[in-house]
This record gives sequence, structure tokens and C-alpha cells, in this order.
Amino acid sequence: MAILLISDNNHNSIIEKSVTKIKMLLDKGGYQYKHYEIANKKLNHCIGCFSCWLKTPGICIFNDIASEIAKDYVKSDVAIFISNIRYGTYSVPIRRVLDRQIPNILPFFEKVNNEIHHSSRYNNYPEFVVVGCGEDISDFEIETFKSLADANAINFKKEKAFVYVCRAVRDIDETVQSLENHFSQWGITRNEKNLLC
Amino acid sequence: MKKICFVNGSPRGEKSCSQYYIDSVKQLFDIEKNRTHVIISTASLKKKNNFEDFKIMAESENIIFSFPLYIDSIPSHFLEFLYQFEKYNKVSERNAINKLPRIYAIINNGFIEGHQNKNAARIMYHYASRIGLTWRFAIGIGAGEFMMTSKKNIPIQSKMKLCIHEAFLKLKKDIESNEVLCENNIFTNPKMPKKLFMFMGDRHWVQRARKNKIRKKELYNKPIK
Repeated sequence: MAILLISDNNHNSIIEKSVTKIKMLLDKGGYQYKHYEIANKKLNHCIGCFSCWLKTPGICIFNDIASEIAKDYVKSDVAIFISNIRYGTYSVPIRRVLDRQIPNILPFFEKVNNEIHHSSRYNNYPEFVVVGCGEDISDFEIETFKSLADANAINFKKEKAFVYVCRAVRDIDETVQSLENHFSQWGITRNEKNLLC
Repeated sequence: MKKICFVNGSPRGEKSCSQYYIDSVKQLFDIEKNRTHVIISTASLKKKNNFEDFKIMAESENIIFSFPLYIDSIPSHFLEFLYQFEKYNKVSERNAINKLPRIYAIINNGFIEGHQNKNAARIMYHYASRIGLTWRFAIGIGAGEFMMTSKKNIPIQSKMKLCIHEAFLKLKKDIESNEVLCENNIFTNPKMPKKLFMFMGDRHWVQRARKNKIRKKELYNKPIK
């Protein structure tokens, strides 16, 4: 799978339109992708039991959509999270999905940029892309959100995150265009077969 | 008489490092002169009606949120709890006028560097600002798992952990004073070389796995093909 799209479309029209336009881009371009819409879905929160490290290494004790996403995450080349921004962080469902990614890394430590982080369990991890939406977001909250996404990317074994912020509907087209430009940089190619279909 | 409400934001509840820090701070206060209350967020979320908890929080002069860092931020269940308190607080006129309670955060992360809590500290600042309460500061503490497992053998006032104890004393003084004594977040951690922390940490995981009859080699399993 090339692209994994995870959205929490339960907050505002900007998210709804972002999801629609990004899916249009993926469909029109014939890109291979899988979309999880997690709004109103039952997602267990990480309970910090460490079973996924110490009892069943790499597998969470819960079997729900968040576990499925964690499995698809390491199989994808690009993971795009679409969330509202509140207090400079993600929505609760998106946070649940991110918290439940820890089976994909090891308990063991390594140094990254002279900071300690967990080591990789797998050889490859997808590009970490975040689309943050909301009309009422301060500049400082955006700064926090970007800093948070970059820190997440490091813990998910990438140098940095690609963060797009849509405060208004007019920002969405620019985001979609920028995403398309990045696809080739990330090695994602259009599937001509799909286009013909 | 100061009213202080501690909120434990760890999914592990009373067995957590967050609770250990709550207990460490709580014992610094004179129980004759202060009234303290502890709310466990997981237990509160399970209640059919947790308005009583929110009422206690809203009527406190100080709230100290103590929680673990999950993927650089706030654990999802605790974020849900904060949403609920925001909703409750919107209907409370008292808080809008007094800008009370004053908000503090104690954040603990598993890596040694306390400064890795900086994003979560900022999120808590945004939270306090959004709900119209007075933000004071956060204490971000590294090496949570180590701090917990070594609490009996290496007390918090030992040389290695003294900086954490001192941060807690600053928090106590700030609460007891009506003045602004500390302006900035404090990021701290037990004093030990990073190499030693990594060595001890890795050994800790192997030993814990062994209790589950999981060998070191198995910890590297790659179940997703």
C-alpha cells in the first residue's frame, strides 16, 4: 500500500473538505491508498501496559481499528493524518491512533540528534504527514502543533514531519497541490493501470 | 488555607509515576494549613456523572495535573478528560471572573531528557489559556520508569534526584505565595550519563520480559509482514 489516510472528520467543514479534496487527488491520480475514517469509531486508548513490548512483542493487546491502522502503518510509504487542532495538539481519536503505534517501535533505546528515543522494530517507516485544521487556531498553537508533529516524526523514525495547516477553506487547495508535489519526492507514483480503469 | 487539587492523568492510575510525583508534592504541604484532593482521571471518566470531580477542581485555587508523556503529548484518555472539564468550566461564571484555579503540570517521560516534555507543557499552557484559567508552569521530568522503579533504593532527595525535589519545592512555594515566583517551565531529570541510562534501560526491559518468559531475541519480533 502506498498511502495511508487517517481522518477524524467530526469537527468542522474544513476537515470534511480537506478529506474530500485529498481523496479526489488520490482517486484522480490513480494512487494506491487506504482510508480510515475514525470519527465515532470505538478505539481503545493505550493503557500503558507494555504488553506490546514485553508479552506479545509488536502486537497490542487490543484488537480494534487502531491495531489495524498500526499494522497498515508500517506497510505504507506515506501516512497522512487529518485532524482538528485544539490546544496545539490532535483530536482525541487521532491521538488514540498515535498512542497505539508503540508496538511498531522497540522498547530499547538509541540516540537520535543526541536525544534518547526508542529503536526501530521495522526496516522502513512511512513519511509522517499531518494536515491540521480549524478556524480558531492561534499562531502559537500552530507553532506548538508543528513542533509536536516533528517530535512525533522522530519517534516514528523519520527526520521530520510534513505539516499542513488549513485555517480556512482557501488553504485546502494549496495543501492538496503541495501534497501532490511531494508524492514524487517520496517515491509515490501514479498507477496508470488504475487510471485506465 | 490553600485548596489544591491534584489530577492524575495516567492510564495506570494509582500505580503510576504520575501518582508517585503527586504523593511527593503532596507531602511537602502542611495538611493542617492546606486542603488537598486527588482525582484519578481514568476513574473519573468511568463515572456516569463526574461533575462532582469537576466541581472540586473548579473550586480549588490550584490544580496540579500530573501525567505521562505519550508520543510527545497528552495521553488520549486524559485529553478527553480535559475536554470534559473545559465543557464544565464554560458554565462556571466564578472561574471566568477569578481566573482561578491556577494551573500547574507535572509531566513525566520515559526518555532521560526532561526537555522532551516541552510540547506537552505548551499544550497545557494553551489549554489553560483557552479555558480562561491562570497558567503557572510545568515541571517536565525525564526517566519516569527509572524514577518509579528506583524510588525505594534512591530517594527523591538523593544527590542524583535532588533537582527534581528542588523543582517540587519551587512548585510548593509558588502555590503558597500569591505572587508569581516562577515564570518558566522547569525541565529536569535524574543526573546520570546517557550511556548508563540506555544500558540500564535496555537491561530493565529484558529482565521484565524474562518474567513473561519472553527471551531478548523475541523482543525484536516483526509480526507485520
